[in-house]
Amino acid sequence: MITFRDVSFSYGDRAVIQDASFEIGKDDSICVVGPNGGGKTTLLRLILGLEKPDRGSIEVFGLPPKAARSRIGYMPQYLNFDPQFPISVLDVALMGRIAKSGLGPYSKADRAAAMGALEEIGMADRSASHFSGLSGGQRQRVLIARALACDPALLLLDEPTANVDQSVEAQLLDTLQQLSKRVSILLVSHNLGFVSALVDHVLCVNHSVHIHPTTKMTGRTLAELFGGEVSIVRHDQDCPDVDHVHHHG
Amino acid sequence: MTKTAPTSTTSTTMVEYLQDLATNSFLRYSLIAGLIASISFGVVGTYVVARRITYIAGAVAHCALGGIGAALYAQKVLGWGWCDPIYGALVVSVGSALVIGCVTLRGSEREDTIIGALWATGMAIGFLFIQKIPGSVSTTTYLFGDINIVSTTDVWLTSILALVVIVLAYLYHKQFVAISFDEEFARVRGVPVSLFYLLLLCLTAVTVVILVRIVGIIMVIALLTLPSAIASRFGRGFFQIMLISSLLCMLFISSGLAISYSIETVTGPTIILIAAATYFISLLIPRLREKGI
Repeated sequence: MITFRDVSFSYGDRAVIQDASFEIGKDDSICVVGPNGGGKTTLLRLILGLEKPDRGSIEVFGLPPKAARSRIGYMPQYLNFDPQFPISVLDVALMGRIAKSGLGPYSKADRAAAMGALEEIGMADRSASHFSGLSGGQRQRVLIARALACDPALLLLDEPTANVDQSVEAQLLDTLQQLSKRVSILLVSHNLGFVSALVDHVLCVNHSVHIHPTTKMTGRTLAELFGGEVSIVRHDQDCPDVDHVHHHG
Repeated sequence: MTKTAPTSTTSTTMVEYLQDLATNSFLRYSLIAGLIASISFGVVGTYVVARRITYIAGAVAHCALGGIGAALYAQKVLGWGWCDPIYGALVVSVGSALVIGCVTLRGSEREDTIIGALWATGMAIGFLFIQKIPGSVSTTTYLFGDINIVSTTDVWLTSILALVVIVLAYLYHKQFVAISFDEEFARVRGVPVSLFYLLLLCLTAVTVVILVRIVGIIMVIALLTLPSAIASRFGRGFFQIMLISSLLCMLFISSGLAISYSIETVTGPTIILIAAATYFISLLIPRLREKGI
């Protein structure tokens, strides 16, 4: 599904990704972890073709990233939007259809697809609400619906549980688990333990990139990744070594 | 406003204004051009407020003086009779909009710096050209508006622009909304973000220039943004806001023209004061409602 071959990328003189080579299979769901500034978001931007690698090559679904965008649903980490921006929940979800829609207003089929995506994440009853009137967790859900509206084969989610409380985080995880049955998910998360039940591989990004099966992640792996002391709190789940990871370094 | 359009130099009543509309072509053209331009202002102004590019629109409007000055110089000194000031304003405003847009997109220079630089440069060029024209050319005419310079050409230009704005808004509304709400997501979904951003800036530039004759360079920016700002407090969604904004714009221009004609004041400031007063009242309404008044 995603292939990186000797990919390096830098912002000016600052190297962000160095010689990254890895392959993600078609049905894999992946969590990207790593310290702040380690290159997690840049990795997503490279997959989306928003950045071009300085060296190496990237293929997504066997295509150059830009050509594969139509098969990718994307949810950014931050949305700096104007609270007075006059837009409803349905309007936001409809943006996911923009590439599939022709000239002029959205079609009935686009509206049906956007409503379907809202239904899937439990926000259909708020479709007419003003987007800025929603809570943080509800907005995250709508942004997931926007990513889903294009009927993607792969969902790229950058910190989908950032800035939401624990109960909302649990609801979002539940939603993502349902979605993972029909679409591959690659998400960046600061909380590997939380999403360990959802993903089967972990992409460790700290300038270099390494992929590990979730079950093979150990405290040592994470300590090397974060470059400091890492606490692992075990909770009796399938993943024996990783549940909650606390970075102190 | 007009010191030459009314047949009498004494204060005119509102009834006389309505009667003069039938006989005074300047008055009629101003009102027709203003009402038609309100459609463009309501639509483009809503995008400008949503995309938060009011200052760019301000710079573009002030740059227009450079084009107006150059065109007047070409007309009166070089003898290029065809070179109407509106053409100069259009070229310079669209050019400055493209420069600001390209600089913003490249991120090579601070946006506020380039806006300030073009804002002042355009006005400086305009004043210098006008200064070199023999005889008296009043800059006040272009800075604050004057219905005595509104012609049938302006009515046609305004009508064509309104048509272009409506067609583009119908065809590309979702792209304009997408780049205004979340530029990166729009890019991921295949929207040519830079192209639509530049198109929006050019539309803004042309819209601003069209009404410069009536409300003036300094005032026009307020008429582009205040109706949309008021409408966004009461309307839900882009369509409602555009509609309310256009209607408000029509109300401000028609009442401003009538009042300025009746009490013999300059058109632009009169229209803008009505718009500004309405805006400030609209800010108070929610607070008054909270207090149960």
